[in-house]
Amino acid sequence: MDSDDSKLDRLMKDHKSDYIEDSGFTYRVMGALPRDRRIAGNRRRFILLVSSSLLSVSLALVLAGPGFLPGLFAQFQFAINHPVLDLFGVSFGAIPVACFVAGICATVSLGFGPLRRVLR
Amino acid sequence: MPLSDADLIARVLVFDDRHAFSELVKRNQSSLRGFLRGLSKGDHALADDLAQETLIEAYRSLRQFEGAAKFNTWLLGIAYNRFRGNLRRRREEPVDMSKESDQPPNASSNPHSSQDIGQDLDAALATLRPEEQIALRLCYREGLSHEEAANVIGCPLGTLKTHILRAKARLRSFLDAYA
Repeated sequence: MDSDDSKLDRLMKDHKSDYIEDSGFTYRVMGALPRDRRIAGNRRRFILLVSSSLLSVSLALVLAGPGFLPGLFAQFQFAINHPVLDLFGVSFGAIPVACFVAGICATVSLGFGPLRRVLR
Repeated sequence: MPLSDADLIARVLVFDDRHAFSELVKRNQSSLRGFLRGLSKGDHALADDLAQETLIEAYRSLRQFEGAAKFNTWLLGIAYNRFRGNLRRRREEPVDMSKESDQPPNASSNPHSSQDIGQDLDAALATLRPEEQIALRLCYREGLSHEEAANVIGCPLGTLKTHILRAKARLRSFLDAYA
Protein backbone atom coordinates (compact mmCIF):
# COMPACT_ATOMS: atom_id res chain seq x y z
CA MET A 1 0.00 0.00 0.00
CA ASP A 2 1.62 3.28 -1.06
CA SER A 3 1.69 6.41 1.09
CA ASP A 4 -1.41 7.92 -0.54
CA ASP A 5 -3.26 4.71 0.13
CA SER A 6 -2.15 4.77 3.76
CA LYS A 7 -3.22 8.38 4.24
CA LEU A 8 -6.55 7.82 2.54
CA ASP A 9 -7.16 4.61 4.42
CA ARG A 10 -6.43 6.32 7.73
CA LEU A 11 -8.51 9.39 6.92
CA MET A 12 -11.51 7.45 5.66
CA LYS A 13 -11.55 5.10 8.63
CA ASP A 14 -10.72 7.65 11.32
CA HIS A 15 -12.98 10.44 10.17
CA LYS A 16 -16.39 9.15 9.30
CA SER A 17 -19.22 11.46 8.36
CA ASP A 18 -21.11 13.22 11.14
CA TYR A 19 -24.03 11.27 12.50
CA ILE A 20 -27.35 12.39 10.98
CA GLU A 21 -30.20 12.49 13.46
CA ASP A 22 -33.17 10.33 12.60
CA SER A 23 -35.74 13.16 13.05
CA GLY A 24 -38.66 10.98 12.00
CA PHE A 25 -36.95 9.47 8.96
CA THR A 26 -37.45 5.88 10.14
CA TYR A 27 -41.11 6.60 10.89
CA ARG A 28 -41.64 7.91 7.35
CA VAL A 29 -39.90 4.90 5.82
CA MET A 30 -41.97 2.42 7.86
CA GLY A 31 -45.14 4.25 6.85
CA ALA A 32 -44.24 3.93 3.19
CA LEU A 33 -43.48 0.19 3.27
CA PRO A 34 -45.79 -2.21 1.41
CA ARG A 35 -48.70 -3.42 3.58
CA ASP A 36 -47.60 -7.00 4.10
CA ARG A 37 -44.79 -8.61 2.15
CA ARG A 38 -46.33 -12.01 2.87
CA ILE A 39 -49.74 -11.16 1.37
CA ALA A 40 -48.60 -11.75 -2.19
CA GLY A 41 -47.19 -15.16 -1.24
CA ASN A 42 -50.30 -16.22 0.71
CA ARG A 43 -52.64 -15.12 -2.04
CA ARG A 44 -50.65 -17.12 -4.54
CA ARG A 45 -50.70 -20.22 -2.30
CA PHE A 46 -54.43 -19.88 -1.69
CA ILE A 47 -55.19 -19.68 -5.40
CA LEU A 48 -52.98 -22.69 -6.09
CA LEU A 49 -54.61 -24.74 -3.33
CA VAL A 50 -58.16 -23.98 -4.41
CA SER A 51 -57.52 -24.46 -8.11
CA SER A 52 -55.60 -27.71 -7.62
CA SER A 53 -58.31 -29.03 -5.29
CA LEU A 54 -61.07 -28.21 -7.74
CA LEU A 55 -59.08 -29.73 -10.57
CA SER A 56 -58.33 -32.94 -8.68
CA VAL A 57 -61.94 -33.36 -7.53
CA SER A 58 -63.21 -32.74 -11.05
CA LEU A 59 -60.73 -35.23 -12.45
CA ALA A 60 -61.69 -37.84 -9.86
CA LEU A 61 -65.38 -37.46 -10.66
CA VAL A 62 -64.76 -37.72 -14.39
CA LEU A 63 -62.57 -40.82 -14.04
CA ALA A 64 -65.03 -42.45 -11.63
CA GLY A 65 -67.79 -42.20 -14.21
CA PRO A 66 -71.37 -40.94 -14.05
CA GLY A 67 -72.44 -43.62 -11.59
CA PHE A 68 -69.97 -42.69 -8.86
CA LEU A 69 -72.16 -40.48 -6.69
CA PRO A 70 -75.29 -42.64 -6.89
CA GLY A 71 -73.08 -45.67 -6.22
CA LEU A 72 -71.57 -43.99 -3.20
CA PHE A 73 -75.01 -43.25 -1.80
CA ALA A 74 -76.04 -46.83 -2.44
CA GLN A 75 -72.96 -48.12 -0.60
CA PHE A 76 -73.86 -46.17 2.52
CA GLN A 77 -77.46 -47.36 2.34
CA PHE A 78 -76.20 -50.93 1.94
CA ALA A 79 -73.97 -50.56 5.01
CA ILE A 80 -76.85 -49.25 7.08
CA ASN A 81 -79.21 -52.06 6.06
CA HIS A 82 -76.84 -55.06 6.36
CA PRO A 83 -75.16 -56.97 9.28
CA VAL A 84 -71.90 -55.83 10.86
CA LEU A 85 -69.71 -58.37 8.99
CA ASP A 86 -70.75 -56.86 5.68
CA LEU A 87 -69.59 -53.52 6.94
CA PHE A 88 -65.98 -54.73 6.86
CA GLY A 89 -66.27 -55.35 3.14
CA VAL A 90 -67.83 -51.97 2.65
CA SER A 91 -65.15 -50.23 4.71
CA PHE A 92 -62.43 -51.25 2.25
CA GLY A 93 -64.33 -49.51 -0.44
CA ALA A 94 -64.86 -46.55 1.85
CA ILE A 95 -61.12 -46.02 2.42
CA PRO A 96 -60.51 -44.11 -0.84
CA VAL A 97 -63.64 -42.10 -0.13
CA ALA A 98 -62.32 -41.23 3.30
CA CYS A 99 -58.99 -40.17 1.77
CA PHE A 100 -60.84 -38.00 -0.69
CA VAL A 101 -62.81 -36.29 2.06
CA ALA A 102 -59.70 -35.90 4.21
CA GLY A 103 -57.91 -34.24 1.30
CA ILE A 104 -60.73 -31.77 0.88
CA CYS A 105 -60.68 -30.95 4.59
CA ALA A 106 -56.90 -30.50 4.56
CA THR A 107 -57.12 -28.19 1.58
CA VAL A 108 -59.76 -26.07 3.25
CA SER A 109 -57.85 -25.88 6.54
CA LEU A 110 -54.58 -24.97 4.83
CA GLY A 111 -56.29 -22.34 2.79
CA PHE A 112 -58.13 -20.82 5.71
CA GLY A 113 -55.08 -18.99 7.08
CA PRO A 114 -54.10 -17.34 3.81
CA LEU A 115 -57.75 -16.60 3.07
CA ARG A 116 -58.11 -14.79 6.37
CA ARG A 117 -55.07 -12.64 5.58
CA VAL A 118 -56.28 -11.89 2.09
CA LEU A 119 -59.68 -10.81 3.33
CA ARG A 120 -58.28 -8.77 6.28
CA MET B 1 -27.64 -8.07 23.88
CA PRO B 2 -28.70 -6.34 20.65
CA LEU B 3 -29.53 -8.55 17.70
CA SER B 4 -27.10 -8.66 14.79
CA ASP B 5 -28.11 -7.44 11.34
CA ALA B 6 -28.34 -11.07 10.20
CA ASP B 7 -30.75 -11.91 13.03
CA LEU B 8 -32.92 -8.89 12.25
CA ILE B 9 -33.00 -9.77 8.55
CA ALA B 10 -34.01 -13.34 9.40
CA ARG B 11 -36.87 -12.03 11.55
CA VAL B 12 -38.08 -9.83 8.71
CA LEU B 13 -37.97 -12.67 6.20
CA VAL B 14 -39.57 -15.33 8.38
CA PHE B 15 -42.04 -13.36 10.50
CA ASP B 16 -42.33 -10.09 8.56
CA ASP B 17 -41.20 -8.48 11.81
CA ARG B 18 -41.56 -4.75 11.13
CA HIS B 19 -39.89 -3.82 14.38
CA ALA B 20 -36.85 -5.72 13.20
CA PHE B 21 -36.83 -3.82 9.92
CA SER B 22 -37.27 -0.48 11.68
CA GLU B 23 -34.22 -1.34 13.78
CA LEU B 24 -32.26 -2.02 10.58
CA VAL B 25 -33.40 1.34 9.22
CA LYS B 26 -32.35 3.16 12.40
CA ARG B 27 -28.92 1.54 12.34
CA ASN B 28 -28.21 2.39 8.70
CA GLN B 29 -30.11 5.62 8.04
CA SER B 30 -27.28 7.98 8.98
CA SER B 31 -24.69 6.25 6.84
CA LEU B 32 -27.08 5.91 3.91
CA ARG B 33 -28.35 9.48 4.03
CA GLY B 34 -24.81 10.84 4.46
CA PHE B 35 -23.64 8.90 1.42
CA LEU B 36 -26.54 10.18 -0.69
CA ARG B 37 -26.07 13.75 0.53
CA GLY B 38 -22.50 13.53 -0.71
CA LEU B 39 -23.65 12.26 -4.10
CA SER B 40 -26.39 14.87 -4.43
CA LYS B 41 -24.05 17.74 -3.58
CA GLY B 42 -25.84 18.59 -0.34
CA ASP B 43 -29.42 18.41 -1.64
CA HIS B 44 -30.80 16.98 1.60
CA ALA B 45 -34.37 16.61 0.37
CA LEU B 46 -33.29 14.62 -2.67
CA ALA B 47 -30.91 12.52 -0.58
CA ASP B 48 -33.64 11.66 1.94
CA ASP B 49 -36.09 10.78 -0.84
CA LEU B 50 -33.54 8.50 -2.45
CA ALA B 51 -32.68 6.98 0.93
CA GLN B 52 -36.35 6.21 1.54
CA GLU B 53 -36.69 4.63 -1.92
CA THR B 54 -33.55 2.60 -1.25
CA LEU B 55 -34.91 1.20 2.01
CA ILE B 56 -38.28 0.36 0.49
CA GLU B 57 -36.56 -1.47 -2.35
CA ALA B 58 -34.35 -3.25 0.18
CA TYR B 59 -37.47 -4.37 2.09
CA ARG B 60 -39.07 -5.72 -1.09
CA SER B 61 -35.96 -7.54 -2.29
CA LEU B 62 -34.58 -8.63 1.07
CA ARG B 63 -34.55 -12.25 -0.04
CA GLN B 64 -31.90 -11.37 -2.60
CA PHE B 65 -29.48 -10.28 0.12
CA GLU B 66 -27.01 -13.13 0.24
CA GLY B 67 -25.08 -12.02 3.30
CA ALA B 68 -21.68 -12.14 1.59
CA ALA B 69 -21.21 -8.41 2.25
CA LYS B 70 -22.49 -6.28 5.11
CA PHE B 71 -26.10 -5.14 4.96
CA ASN B 72 -24.95 -1.53 4.87
CA THR B 73 -22.76 -2.27 1.87
CA TRP B 74 -25.69 -3.85 0.06
CA LEU B 75 -27.79 -0.77 0.82
CA LEU B 76 -25.10 1.50 -0.62
CA GLY B 77 -25.18 -0.49 -3.86
CA ILE B 78 -28.95 -0.05 -4.13
CA ALA B 79 -28.63 3.64 -3.22
CA TYR B 80 -26.01 4.19 -5.89
CA ASN B 81 -28.22 2.61 -8.55
CA ARG B 82 -31.17 4.69 -7.35
CA PHE B 83 -29.07 7.82 -7.60
CA ARG B 84 -27.95 6.98 -11.12
CA GLY B 85 -31.53 6.30 -12.16
CA ASN B 86 -32.60 9.62 -10.71
CA LEU B 87 -29.75 11.34 -12.53
CA ARG B 88 -30.82 9.82 -15.84
CA ARG B 89 -34.40 10.89 -15.26
CA ARG B 90 -33.35 14.44 -14.47
CA ARG B 91 -30.95 14.38 -17.46
CA GLU B 92 -28.20 16.00 -15.50
CA GLU B 93 -24.64 15.78 -16.64
CA PRO B 94 -21.93 15.26 -14.02
CA VAL B 95 -20.20 18.48 -13.14
CA ASP B 96 -16.77 18.72 -14.71
CA MET B 97 -14.56 18.19 -11.71
CA SER B 98 -11.24 18.52 -13.56
CA LYS B 99 -11.11 22.24 -12.94
CA GLU B 100 -11.66 21.78 -9.23
CA SER B 101 -9.27 18.92 -8.65
CA ASP B 102 -6.36 21.19 -7.88
CA GLN B 103 -8.28 23.31 -5.46
CA PRO B 104 -7.82 22.21 -1.87
CA PRO B 105 -10.89 22.11 0.32
CA ASN B 106 -11.61 25.18 2.40
CA ALA B 107 -9.06 25.44 5.19
CA SER B 108 -10.45 25.00 8.65
CA SER B 109 -9.57 27.36 11.44
CA ASN B 110 -8.06 24.42 13.28
CA PRO B 111 -6.90 21.95 10.64
CA HIS B 112 -5.92 19.44 13.28
CA SER B 113 -9.38 19.30 14.81
CA SER B 114 -10.87 15.88 14.26
CA GLN B 115 -14.29 17.31 13.52
CA ASP B 116 -12.86 19.75 10.99
CA ILE B 117 -10.90 17.01 9.25
CA GLY B 118 -14.05 14.95 8.99
CA GLN B 119 -16.02 17.84 7.56
CA ASP B 120 -13.23 18.74 5.15
CA LEU B 121 -13.00 15.13 4.05
CA ASP B 122 -16.74 15.03 3.37
CA ALA B 123 -16.49 18.28 1.43
CA ALA B 124 -13.56 16.90 -0.58
CA LEU B 125 -15.42 13.65 -1.30
CA ALA B 126 -18.45 15.61 -2.43
CA THR B 127 -16.35 17.15 -5.22
CA LEU B 128 -15.76 13.72 -6.75
CA ARG B 129 -17.90 12.06 -9.36
CA PRO B 130 -20.54 9.65 -7.95
CA GLU B 131 -18.74 6.55 -9.19
CA GLU B 132 -15.49 7.77 -7.62
CA GLN B 133 -17.20 8.52 -4.32
CA ILE B 134 -18.76 5.12 -4.03
CA ALA B 135 -15.55 3.37 -5.12
CA LEU B 136 -13.59 5.13 -2.36
CA ARG B 137 -16.26 4.58 0.21
CA LEU B 138 -16.61 0.87 -0.44
CA CYS B 139 -12.88 0.18 -0.61
CA TYR B 140 -11.59 2.50 2.13
CA ARG B 141 -14.45 2.95 4.55
CA GLU B 142 -16.33 -0.33 4.21
CA GLY B 143 -13.15 -2.34 3.76
CA LEU B 144 -14.21 -4.21 0.63
CA SER B 145 -11.69 -5.65 -1.79
CA HIS B 146 -11.63 -4.18 -5.28
CA GLU B 147 -13.41 -7.27 -6.62
CA GLU B 148 -16.16 -7.04 -4.00
CA ALA B 149 -16.63 -3.32 -4.59
CA ALA B 150 -16.81 -3.82 -8.37
CA ASN B 151 -19.46 -6.48 -7.78
CA VAL B 152 -21.54 -4.14 -5.60
CA ILE B 153 -21.34 -1.27 -8.08
CA GLY B 154 -21.79 -3.55 -11.07
CA CYS B 155 -18.76 -2.44 -13.05
CA PRO B 156 -15.63 -4.23 -14.33
CA LEU B 157 -12.69 -4.47 -11.96
CA GLY B 158 -10.48 -2.34 -14.19
CA THR B 159 -13.11 0.41 -14.25
CA LEU B 160 -13.29 0.44 -10.46
CA LYS B 161 -9.52 0.73 -10.17
CA THR B 162 -9.60 3.63 -12.60
CA HIS B 163 -12.23 5.37 -10.47
CA ILE B 164 -10.05 4.98 -7.39
CA LEU B 165 -6.94 6.26 -9.15
CA ARG B 166 -8.76 9.32 -10.45
CA ALA B 167 -10.34 9.97 -7.07
CA LYS B 168 -6.97 9.84 -5.34
CA ALA B 169 -5.53 12.17 -7.95
CA ARG B 170 -8.32 14.68 -7.30
CA LEU B 171 -7.85 14.37 -3.56
CA ARG B 172 -4.05 14.68 -3.73
CA SER B 173 -3.93 18.27 -2.45
CA PHE B 174 -6.29 17.35 0.36
CA LEU B 175 -4.18 14.34 1.27
CA ASP B 176 -1.05 16.47 1.28
CA ALA B 177 -2.68 18.99 3.60
CA TYR B 178 -3.58 16.26 6.08
CA ALA B 179 -0.43 14.18 6.04
